[in-house]
Amino acid sequence: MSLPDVTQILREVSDGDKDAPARLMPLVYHELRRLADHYLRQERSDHTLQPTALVHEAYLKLIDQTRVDWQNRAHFFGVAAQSMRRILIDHARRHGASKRGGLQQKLTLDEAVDYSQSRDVDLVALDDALNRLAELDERQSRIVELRFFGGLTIEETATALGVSAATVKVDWSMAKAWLRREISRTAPSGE
Amino acid sequence: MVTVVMTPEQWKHLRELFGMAIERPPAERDAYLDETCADDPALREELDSLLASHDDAETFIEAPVFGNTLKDPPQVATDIAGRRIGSYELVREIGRGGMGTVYLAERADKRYQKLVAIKVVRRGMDTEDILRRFSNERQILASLDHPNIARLLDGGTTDDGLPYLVMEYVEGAMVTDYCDLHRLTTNSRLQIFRTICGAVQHAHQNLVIHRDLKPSNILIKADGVPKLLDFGIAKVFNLDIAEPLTERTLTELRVFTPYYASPEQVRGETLTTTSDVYSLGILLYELLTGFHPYRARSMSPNELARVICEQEPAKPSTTVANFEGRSHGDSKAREAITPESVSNARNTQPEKLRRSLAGDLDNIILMALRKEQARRYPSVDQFSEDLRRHLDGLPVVARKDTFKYRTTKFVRRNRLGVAAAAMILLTLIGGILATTWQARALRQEKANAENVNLFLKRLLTYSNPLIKVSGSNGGGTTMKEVLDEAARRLDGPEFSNQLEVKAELEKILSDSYFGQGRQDLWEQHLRKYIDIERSLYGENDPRTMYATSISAMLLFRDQNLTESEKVYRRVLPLMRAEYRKGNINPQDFAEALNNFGYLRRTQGDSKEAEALFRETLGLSARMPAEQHFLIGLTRCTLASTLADQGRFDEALETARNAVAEYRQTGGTGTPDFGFALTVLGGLLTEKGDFVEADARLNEGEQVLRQLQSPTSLWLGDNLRNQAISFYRQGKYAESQSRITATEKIYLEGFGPAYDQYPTVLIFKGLILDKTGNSTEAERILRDAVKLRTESLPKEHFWVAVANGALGECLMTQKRFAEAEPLLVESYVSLNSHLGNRDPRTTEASRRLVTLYDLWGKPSQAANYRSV
Repeated sequence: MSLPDVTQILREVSDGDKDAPARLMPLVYHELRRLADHYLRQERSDHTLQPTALVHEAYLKLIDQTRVDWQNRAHFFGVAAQSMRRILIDHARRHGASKRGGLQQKLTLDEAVDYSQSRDVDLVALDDALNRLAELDERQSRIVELRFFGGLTIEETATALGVSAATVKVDWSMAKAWLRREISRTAPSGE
Repeated sequence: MVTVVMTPEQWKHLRELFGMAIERPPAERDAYLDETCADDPALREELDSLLASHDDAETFIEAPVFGNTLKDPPQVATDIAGRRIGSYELVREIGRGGMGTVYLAERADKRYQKLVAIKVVRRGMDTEDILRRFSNERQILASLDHPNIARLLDGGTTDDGLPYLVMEYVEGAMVTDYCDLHRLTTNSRLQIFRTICGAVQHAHQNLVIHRDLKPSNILIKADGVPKLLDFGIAKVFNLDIAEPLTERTLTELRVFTPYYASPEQVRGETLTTTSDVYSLGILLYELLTGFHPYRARSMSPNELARVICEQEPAKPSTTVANFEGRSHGDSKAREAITPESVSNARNTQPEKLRRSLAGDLDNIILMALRKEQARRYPSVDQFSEDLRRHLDGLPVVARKDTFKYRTTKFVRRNRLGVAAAAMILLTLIGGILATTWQARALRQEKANAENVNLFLKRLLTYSNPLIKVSGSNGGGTTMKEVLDEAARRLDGPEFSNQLEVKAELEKILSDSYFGQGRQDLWEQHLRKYIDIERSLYGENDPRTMYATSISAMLLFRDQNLTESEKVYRRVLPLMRAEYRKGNINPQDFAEALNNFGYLRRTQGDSKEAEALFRETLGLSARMPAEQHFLIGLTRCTLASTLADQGRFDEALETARNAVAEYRQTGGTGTPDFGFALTVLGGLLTEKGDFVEADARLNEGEQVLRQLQSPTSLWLGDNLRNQAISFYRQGKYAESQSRITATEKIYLEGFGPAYDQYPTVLIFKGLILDKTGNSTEAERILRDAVKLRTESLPKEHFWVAVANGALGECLMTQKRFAEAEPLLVESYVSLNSHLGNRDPRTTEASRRLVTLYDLWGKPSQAANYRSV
């Protein structure tokens, strides 16, 4: 993968090329997957990535920072968020995902991720619920992806999606309420 | 799960109201909702539920899964933020090693966007000693140019005087994790491991020992290429520039990861390339088994050091089969690991994994892990080379050069020319036997010699992988050619002065030919064996007694039952006495007893046969495990003998036990198991349980076809029993094809004298009779009766079986008067031998009923109907 590719595609996304995001996704996904595998499974090698810098790592590798604006970055992180969701869920499912908290336990063990506040979330259950939410409200599900898996603020999410911050705010609140209820319904064992 | 189904419009409405509601203070919400949802209680309920969840959900997924970092600009470690080293800009710290800190950096000019790892000696650690070693490392790394070693790109001194190295930045997974993640098989892991060996070997050739080989120093990149990192503590071991050996102290031990340290490393002794061999051995152990060889997770450093120096590691094959626990050492996941999880990560099953490690790999790894440096592989190259030989199916160095081992290998591989193979075969056998024969004089070695012998017998009699894998002409060509060549050489001069060895080899060859279905050559070499033994030892030697018992068996085979019996009756008491004195081993005596029992059964004395078989079984406990197959066979013939006495249920139980025992003891990979299935299937057929009978017979056929030549006698027996089952089910076409195949095997193998051949004729005739060719049937059945009466006593029930078949055929032709005496005679004989409840007796009485019905003699029919 040569570096200008991703930057170029991002610019094409900004220029309104409708096919560009489809080309971007696999590139970003691939890079993140690689990095994620690397760091999720690795311990203390001198050359290990610091856990929280995963996407930056990809970003640094993939993007020529001098050639992208914030909009490009928002797109990038949008795609990255989606990729992260897939990677994490894959990972969680692979690691005995049926056990609640499989991933959390793993991450905690690794002490790899700044995960303290979301440690009580069952990622697999969240993913399932998120899929159901997407059937009712695609945008809400996307917002959760950007916020939770991508770490974007309300404003950044709004920029990435091209909607107002107020809209994101209401969607976010409702999505959280809906998801939380959904997860507690499907997981009778509770927290 | 309760999910309210709603239309997009309803959802939109719900969202709108939800948005409005959360804008209001909770106290006012109810009033608001009362107003807006007055006419829609379902909507109201949904909103209440969502709002309740909302109020509790404040922190729920509020913090991003990775913290708030995704979108933030990269953070540079504060103490070096913005620092430049040479033409690189530090991005952040990525690790701390024994001697320094490693930073991720990128080229400041960004021209290449190249990320590198920069290792800077830590402040406070820049002592003279460390500085010297650091400069060593720089020298060393610069000399290493290998695709699997992380490159040294640059180096220098920082503005504050700290030395640094710029290294290729490697992204990848630790080799152990990579292999598990991709569920690589043992062989794939070996390939990767050999690549790693190549890199270490390259370093060794450049006079560099790594000294810290461990999974976290061996990364596999996404493209599958392994990279060795951190020759950080490697040192030049060229004597000219070697540092004094005293430098290695306990302090330095901390630099090592003790899990991978060799005994000499722990003791602070001189390290050599074999220290890396050791560390690689640990790595390979972990790669293949998922466990550290010492499973020393909770050990203190002192304890660990002791264990490294003193404890013998368990065989890898034992470890994968038995141990459960948690991984440790340098491995990532401290997850529970079990034989299942380990084999799953290797894309196989526990038992398969165990078997793939047992033998060569056990020996190779344990050789690398030997405590004494001198007894390990002298070089990484030789370690790797031995693995290659294993992968190619060639003999490996690591294994003790035992006879069994070399011969196993010989049979497994398929690359030798026939002449070379035969030569090797004879040399191996000859060489070993020569030594073991000398050793036989020493009592304590006797057992070993016999085990070798037994092993050989079984190997050559039963294994025919050569047939399967090689053979440009297919079939059994290659193994046959090898045996023929071996036989030819056996007559050559090199064996003329080692007759003891030659005799043993003749016996082995004959057994091999038997396994190949070449009974002519079996007999020929058996006779040579007997002759040599007689000439060597004279009649009264225990060794000759065994040979004599073999000659009795040959007489039996030639249908000279009376003469055979005479020989057995003379030699068996002698053998029994010698056996009690310890001069004849239990398996040879058992073989003679078993064969005599078989003779007595054939002669119709199933009582004496039973006693002989039971005596044979009584010897089993004293026989070596490798000989237990004979016991299984005896059990099967005992089952048949019990059936001969009409003790049908006992017979069935005995056969079932025999089969079950093979299954329980892992003996299902032997032709004997196939034989046992054949016997069980035969008994089930007589009982009328055709479904199970066919299942067992089929299973037996598979086993025999897999393990034996397509002309083996046992396969013939199996097909014969299948033919009988199909005949009894009225499936004459299927029966016909089986009986034809059986006849071919019997005739080609033994000729018409084989005691089971008349049975073939009987069923061949019965099938013809049932399919409208009674004339031809009669001719064949008369042959069967003739063969039976000629070779057996008149009262033997096998004669009765033949008579019954002929009678049935005559009955079909409405020649009732001719049929009647045969059928009556048959019934009376069977009834007296087997009792009136045996299926064969019942069949005979049914025939009589049919005869008299057809003949118009209902009162006589009624006599037999009531039986």
